[in-house]
Amino acid sequence: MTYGRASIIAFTTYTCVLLAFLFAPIAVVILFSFDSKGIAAFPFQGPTLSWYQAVIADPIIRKAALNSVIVAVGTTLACILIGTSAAFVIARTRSPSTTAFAGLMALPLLLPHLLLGIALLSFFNSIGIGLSLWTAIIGHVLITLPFLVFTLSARIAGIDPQLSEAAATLGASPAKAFATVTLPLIRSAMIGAALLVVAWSLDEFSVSFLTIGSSNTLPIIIWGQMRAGVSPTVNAISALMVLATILLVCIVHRLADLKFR
Amino acid sequence: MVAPAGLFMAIFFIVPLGVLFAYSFGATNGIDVSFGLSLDNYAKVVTSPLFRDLIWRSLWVGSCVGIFSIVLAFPLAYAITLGPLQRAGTFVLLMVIVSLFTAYIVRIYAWRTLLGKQGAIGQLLAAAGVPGSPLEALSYSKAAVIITLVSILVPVAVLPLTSALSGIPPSCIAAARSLGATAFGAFARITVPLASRGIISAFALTFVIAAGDFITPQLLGGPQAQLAGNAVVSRFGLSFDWPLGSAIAFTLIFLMGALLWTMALVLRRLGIKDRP
Repeated sequence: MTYGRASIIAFTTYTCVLLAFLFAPIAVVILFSFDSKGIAAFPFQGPTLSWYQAVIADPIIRKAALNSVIVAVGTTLACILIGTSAAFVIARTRSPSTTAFAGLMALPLLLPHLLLGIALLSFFNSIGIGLSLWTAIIGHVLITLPFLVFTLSARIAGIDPQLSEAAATLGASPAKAFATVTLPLIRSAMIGAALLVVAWSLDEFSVSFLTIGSSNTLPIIIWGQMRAGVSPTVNAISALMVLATILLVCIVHRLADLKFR
Repeated sequence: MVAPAGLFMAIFFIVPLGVLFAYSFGATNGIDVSFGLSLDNYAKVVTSPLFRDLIWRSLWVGSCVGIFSIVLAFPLAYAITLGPLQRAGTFVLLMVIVSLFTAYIVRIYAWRTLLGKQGAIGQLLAAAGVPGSPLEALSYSKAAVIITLVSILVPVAVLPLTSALSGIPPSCIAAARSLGATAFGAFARITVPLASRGIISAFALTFVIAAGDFITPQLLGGPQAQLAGNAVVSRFGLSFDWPLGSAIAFTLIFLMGALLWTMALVLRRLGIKDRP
């Protein structure tokens, strides 16, 4: 279909305005993270890196950043360990029980995180398990596992099953066929999905908030500073988190050619 | 092969939901929760005007956010799939993904920076000599909550819409046009019905997140803009009443499910199916 000049201009303008609506607030926060005043209000007082120095020097924030990374890495490893075989089942078998299993796996995507968080909180409480980074990891796995499983199963479904059958015919053991034929074909999708799970886990707030107990992650620090009303370092923490997100998403895009549609 | 994931889901999803559901029939003495078979908590939720208002407002805000997100996201999804921006599609979609993966709490903080009482927009207007502050009415209101949630959830709506629209062969639309349909007629009678599955999933996803949210109303909504999620969280926090919190949560989830179910039924009656 061909489009007239007017509609090209209209669609381009609209897309730019919508993207500005999505990104302008974040851009303002990043801008103010370099302002010496420390609160997000005009006028600028002058550029400074002191908020970033304060973030790096603050032991509580450093600890929270470490916790965020521990939870994200733990979540991602657990998701890959648990989710890969499930993705194969969903991609390769057609039966009512597979459909039911896929439905169960998809269900956490359709429920508010608040409900998942209080359900886990009640569960851990009722069996007497104290809240910690471990319980937060379980919460994060619950919300990211469906994403990983369905991203992987979409890629696996695109692989011709005859390839590994051919390997078997040529004498490869199932393990060898998997390692030499199937794994290389899904490796990029696995890396991409894993990095997106890292990004998601680093940013997750509501489930962490309900299942982590007295520990902090970076989003919980931001929540606390916002609740307290004083937020001298929130701009800088936010800017660093946005930077991490952009990096991870761009790496996924370059490296793993994941189709986002 | 399903054992690891199946076991995980059984232990950490089905059982916890069961425990939470059992709590909603229990009671608390302020220290411990005792299981029971009482409907008192649900009676409180149904009879209290406070909880009724909160739940009703959650459903209303969730529906508004769902509809606005789709209305805003659709032209963008259309532009990069069937429209004139197909070549920029990858880049635009990458921007949308970056926004989607940017921390929820950071985006809420950013909006509060803009809309809050000492927000940047209000200051700019004041500096420009705009009399009164039009934002005074906006900050800490239901509108602020809706605006923030829409901006957070537009990327969530873009993905299913893009996927649905990219599955429509342009030849279908071209055929309708050559048979005499106006551009609008082809859009309304070919494009939208063929994209209905994407529209329905976009609404369901954004509605569920918005109606179940507690963070945005807590940080951006005033007392008049709290949602049912806030009542749930406070029952699980400061005012220790997990059974009541659980009953509020299950009532909300039940009504959310009922609303989505009714919508699907109505659309089916109108001849629009959730599957092509």
